Amino acid sequence: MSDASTRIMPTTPALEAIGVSKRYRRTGSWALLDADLEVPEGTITALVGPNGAGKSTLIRTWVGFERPTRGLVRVGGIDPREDRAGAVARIGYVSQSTALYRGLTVGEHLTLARTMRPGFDDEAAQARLEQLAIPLSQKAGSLSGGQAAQVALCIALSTGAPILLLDEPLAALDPLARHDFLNLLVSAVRERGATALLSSHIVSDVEAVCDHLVVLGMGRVTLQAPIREAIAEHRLGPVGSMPAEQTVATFARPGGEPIALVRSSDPSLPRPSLEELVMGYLAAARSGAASSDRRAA
Amino acid sequence: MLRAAWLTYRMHQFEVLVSAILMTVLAISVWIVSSHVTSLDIAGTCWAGDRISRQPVCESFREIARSEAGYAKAGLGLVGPIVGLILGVPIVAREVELRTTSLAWSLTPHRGRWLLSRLLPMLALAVAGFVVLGWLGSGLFEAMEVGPVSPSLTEVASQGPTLVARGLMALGIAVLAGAVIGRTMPAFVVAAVAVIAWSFIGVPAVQQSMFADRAVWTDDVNGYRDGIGPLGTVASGEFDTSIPGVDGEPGARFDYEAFNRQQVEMCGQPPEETVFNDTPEWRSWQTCAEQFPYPEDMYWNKLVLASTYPDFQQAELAVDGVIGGVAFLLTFPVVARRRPS
Repeated sequence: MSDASTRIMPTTPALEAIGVSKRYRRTGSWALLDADLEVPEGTITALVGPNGAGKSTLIRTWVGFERPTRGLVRVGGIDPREDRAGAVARIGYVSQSTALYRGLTVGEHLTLARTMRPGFDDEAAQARLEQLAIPLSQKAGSLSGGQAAQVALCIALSTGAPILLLDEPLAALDPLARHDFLNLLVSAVRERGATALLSSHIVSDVEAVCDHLVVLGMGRVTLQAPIREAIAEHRLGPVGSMPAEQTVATFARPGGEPIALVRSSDPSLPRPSLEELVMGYLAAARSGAASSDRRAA
Repeated sequence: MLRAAWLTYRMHQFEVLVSAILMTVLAISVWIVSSHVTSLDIAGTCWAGDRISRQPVCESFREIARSEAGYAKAGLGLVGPIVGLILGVPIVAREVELRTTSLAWSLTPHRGRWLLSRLLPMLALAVAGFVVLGWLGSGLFEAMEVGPVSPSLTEVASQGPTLVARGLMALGIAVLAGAVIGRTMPAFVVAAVAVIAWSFIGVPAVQQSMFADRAVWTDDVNGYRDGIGPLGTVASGEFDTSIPGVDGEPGARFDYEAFNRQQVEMCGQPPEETVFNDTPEWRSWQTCAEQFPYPEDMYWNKLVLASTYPDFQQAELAVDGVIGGVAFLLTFPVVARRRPS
């Protein structure tokens, strides 16, 4: 974990979501429910949640690919619905399924980016790709999943955008490719003082590089905090040992042992790992949704 | 700009290659057929001289009209819509289908400019090809339509600016269908159905409505070229517009005497003898012998004079232009609002 959580928080968030709900007309299901979220400028924030939690939907609303059914999103203070060009100009985006033009070479992708994005830094992109040993003459269709993700990240970084939105870019990568990807991301973001939001459903992937955490479960934001603070303010305890109002949720550890995640700074209780913290909040979201369903029934 | 155009061609290289080959092969074919027909000197040889000496030329002309010129004309009629569909559908649909729009639309602050950067190179290719083919098509029709042979309304979009307009209209419909549907094959089918429906239902409907004002009843079909249903055009010189038509309205009647005089002058005998003694299956494009029913077997048709043909071409141009233009314009808000996948 980095030390970035100790930095002074700027007043203007890089990304905001205010009461955002999104319902897909085709399926009728709600992907997001009154999601409130702020991503501080200059942070690397992990957006964590299980598959179907609404991570991609939330990111896509910031890029202007989705319109919230209710609520408001802002990118650097700009509402993409009112000024999509302004919002997109502030964003570098890597999509969940890295889609490059299979028939074009890597070099042609850089040319394409240069023609579409004013200020695209072609030289920086080439230098990064050279470091990664990805030839510019190679066709995108012949790149491995890891290489394609690296190319997409290089393009996003070379836009010079102050905000990077990375939608599960690690999902299809092997451990070495993940390591390379995260190294490239962290060095570039720190170098430029940019803000990055990295979504993943694998906590261990983001633990090493992120300083902020957002947990999204069942379409709701259940936790958002600097990772250090979040861990410091929670403890693990035997089920039923703590007052109900302090208990976030009970969940089963990998061995099957039930345990409670509680809001407490009691030094006698063990601190949760990041994974346990996330597990607790996801369990809370699930039980909250279940009780809502029961009430509705 | 040139770099963006080159990349667009690279992205759609299969469609670009297929379209370029299709248009080039057709252009060369039309040019060869036109040269062949021109070299026969139909007007000078088949329409003049004695019957024996002109017979081989007329036979050659008939053969060409039936075979290669027929294929070339059919190709000219189809090439605009086909190339329009091939080039137009994948411009947006392929990118949505393969999800490359996620990359492109996150890079470009203005989707309208992105669409233009994809659209303009394809339009440039289509316009260049269609203009050349339209010009060559006009040459072919000019070479074929000599003497009293009149132009056919079904072939109105196989030559000149109307070929360009029909092709661009198809391209516009194809781009819009691709943007709305976001899948290449379904969009291709929908756009093809729309273009076919327009060509075979919409165009005749427009022509019919124009006919209402201009058509005249006639009791014969000299110079008549089949349109769809009762539509057709006739050469103007053989009608006496002072005689009322069968419906009692002022119209044109076929002037037998003038026709017979012309036939005797050109063929050396009245048309009845020419037709029924020689080759009754001959059609109107032939010069010296027309299918010519006897007066008691006459059937009546509503025809327009060939001099009004440019009006039909202009109507086709205008309507194709409006449909294509609206389709292109509608694509912009569709792209601006749609999800990338």
